Amino acid sequence: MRCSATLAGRRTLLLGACLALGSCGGGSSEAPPDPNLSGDPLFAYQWHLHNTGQDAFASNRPTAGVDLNLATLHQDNVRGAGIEVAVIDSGLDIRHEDLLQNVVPQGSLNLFDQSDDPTPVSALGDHGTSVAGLIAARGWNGVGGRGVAPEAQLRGFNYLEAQGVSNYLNAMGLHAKARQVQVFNMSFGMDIDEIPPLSRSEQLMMDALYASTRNGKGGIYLQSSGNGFGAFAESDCSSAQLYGVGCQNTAFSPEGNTLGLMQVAAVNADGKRSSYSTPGSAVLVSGFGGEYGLHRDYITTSSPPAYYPAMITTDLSGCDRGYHRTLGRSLNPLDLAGPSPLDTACNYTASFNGTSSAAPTVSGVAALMLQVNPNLSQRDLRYILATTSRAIDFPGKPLDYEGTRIDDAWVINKAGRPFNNWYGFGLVDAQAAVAAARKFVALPPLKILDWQQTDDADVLPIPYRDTVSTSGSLSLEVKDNVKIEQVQVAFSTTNQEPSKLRVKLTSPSGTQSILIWPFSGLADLAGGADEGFSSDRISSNAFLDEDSQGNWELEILDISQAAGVSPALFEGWALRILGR
Amino acid sequence: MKSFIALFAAVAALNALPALGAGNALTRAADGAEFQIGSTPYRVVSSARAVKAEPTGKNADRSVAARAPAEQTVGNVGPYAIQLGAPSNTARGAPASPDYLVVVNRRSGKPALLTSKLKIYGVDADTAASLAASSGGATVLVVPPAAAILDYASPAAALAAMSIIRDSKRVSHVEPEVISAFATPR
Repeated sequence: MRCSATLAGRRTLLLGACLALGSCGGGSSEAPPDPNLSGDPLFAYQWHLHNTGQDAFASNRPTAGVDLNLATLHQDNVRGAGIEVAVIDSGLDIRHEDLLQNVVPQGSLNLFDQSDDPTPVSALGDHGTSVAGLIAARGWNGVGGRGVAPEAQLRGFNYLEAQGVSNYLNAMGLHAKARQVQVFNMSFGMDIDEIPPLSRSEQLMMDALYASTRNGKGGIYLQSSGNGFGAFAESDCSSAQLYGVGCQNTAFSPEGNTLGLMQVAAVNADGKRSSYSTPGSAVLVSGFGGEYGLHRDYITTSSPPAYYPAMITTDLSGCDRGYHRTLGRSLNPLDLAGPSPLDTACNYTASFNGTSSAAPTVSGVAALMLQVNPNLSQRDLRYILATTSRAIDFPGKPLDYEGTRIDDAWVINKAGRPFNNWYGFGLVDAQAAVAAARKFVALPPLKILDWQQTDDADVLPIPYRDTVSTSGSLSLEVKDNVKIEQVQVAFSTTNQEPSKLRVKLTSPSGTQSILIWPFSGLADLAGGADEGFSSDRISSNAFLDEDSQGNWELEILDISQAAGVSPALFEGWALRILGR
Repeated sequence: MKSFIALFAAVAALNALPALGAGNALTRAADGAEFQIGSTPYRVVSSARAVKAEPTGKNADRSVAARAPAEQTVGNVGPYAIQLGAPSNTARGAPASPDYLVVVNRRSGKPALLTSKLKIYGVDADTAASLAASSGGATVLVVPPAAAILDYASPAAALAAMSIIRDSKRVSHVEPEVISAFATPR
């Protein structure tokens, strides 16, 4: 997140406030942990790896015990050895002192110039280099900190510098340098206030690619869910902030709503949703993203999350560039303007955050899982993550608007699986995931109950929020029975104001999943065509392990008025179920 | 039910669209070729152009768009400002990008960028190469088991080739690459 436009904007505001108040300056934190305990001087501060409530450079300490639960995995030599992880991002500092040993020689690809060096030339921070450190900063080498999988191998693909369909496909496994990759970390996404289209043909092409890598076992693709809970891009998020729902929704990116990609949300050092983390029914699990990592001795801001720990990771090498650099601003005892006692060469940062951080923490866990069981398929690993993650912040607080539920918090489905749009199945537990991976019996082959749709004649007015029972619902009967792994939905309406709609899917077992909630940052439609709000694909993970057979209901409500029906129509919907 | 449900359906000729809403200059200006992605119709806006923001020293975060007359800019796609109408004499800086044609999403009214690439489906490598050659393009990537990416000299050439490829009836589907937004770090 750190170098994103959003964060850059926020950081500018924070620093602006600091300068205005005249409160920037030096300071000293209390005595740091003993760096000699680990051999990696920053390891003792990396709360996401082992959280004792230690100093993590921010003003506020983390809550002890809130970590990935690595337990003795590293001591037991479960460190990701033999597993290759692609950092598909802005770049990768392949000569960084704490990454070099894990970087595959000549294994990276600069998609801009086709060389094997994606090290950026910019003086600013390199997002990919910080992401890479969270995955696989080398352990026990006497410098820096440690990755979740400190012996995994890294390849960098600077896709964000050379975007387009060909480079995307190459980075995701088609290029020769990506064919050996097992884990693909995707700490990026599109921030857009509409739902862009996605053709069925493209859906099938991408699904086939994601399933074909790792010699047909399926690559492990982990993508950040987004940083748009409170704000994103140029969207109007005032209503979302007022009613406490996410302004952004994973549903806004239909390309990420597929079984082949795992959406990762972010959790902070208190074990709660990171203030920015984008929710949605497509979220699978959560990793650690932290907050902003500022320390009051160095900078003053009115934003409370700013003083809670961020992630401690690698930064572009040198004091002349990177997030931590001489021309930067002092944020905390590590991120000084120039060298700091624990980082004299400005190679590290303690203010990296975002779901950009959450995805790589889960990528690291995936590497550990694949080390102990390289035969796991993509679906196996996905299932293990879903069924071993921890239901944090349970039961949460459901949100209502004038009696209409707009956020469900935790829902336990009829198969006993807890799910929450904020966290997916919860916070990843490395020890539990690796233990399950060791003894996992492969899932039966994937069964796809292909798209079926409502009849063209089934058209309903979209009711306002006083609806009772099924007045805003269209049903689809599924005759075949599978154990569900994911449900996908497409729908069509004539509505032009999608931020007023709630779209809810109910399974034959009665489990409900809110796919679209009202008050989001979706913009009104203004295309002049007769087509209204629709989506070509929204996925929900909330029905894991339920039976598919029976009647499914999709309900669309307009919450903007108390009674009656809106002038817009619910024109129909389609359902696709993937399972075993 | 809308056409989004039709698998591999050939892109149908779009019916005339109803009167345009006031205030959407881009939609009103749409005058070029029409096509569809999924269930969403698009149309080329031949009088619009994409102008990339360029860093300018100390003001590296200021874009060319920001220095152009505000009335010309009707939206943004990533670092590209979408400008409508004849270029202003007072608008300094970068020219329109030749890499993209501006199109408008007829559902949302938002601008998007059309590239010089086509995605073709239901083809093997040999068929993709043959179609590329017969339509003036080149195969840049074959995507197993049955898709390919073709590239052309320009976005306009890609649009022209789309009709040739569709008419060949040797693909299950063909669509252009459209960029609604650029990915950013999260």
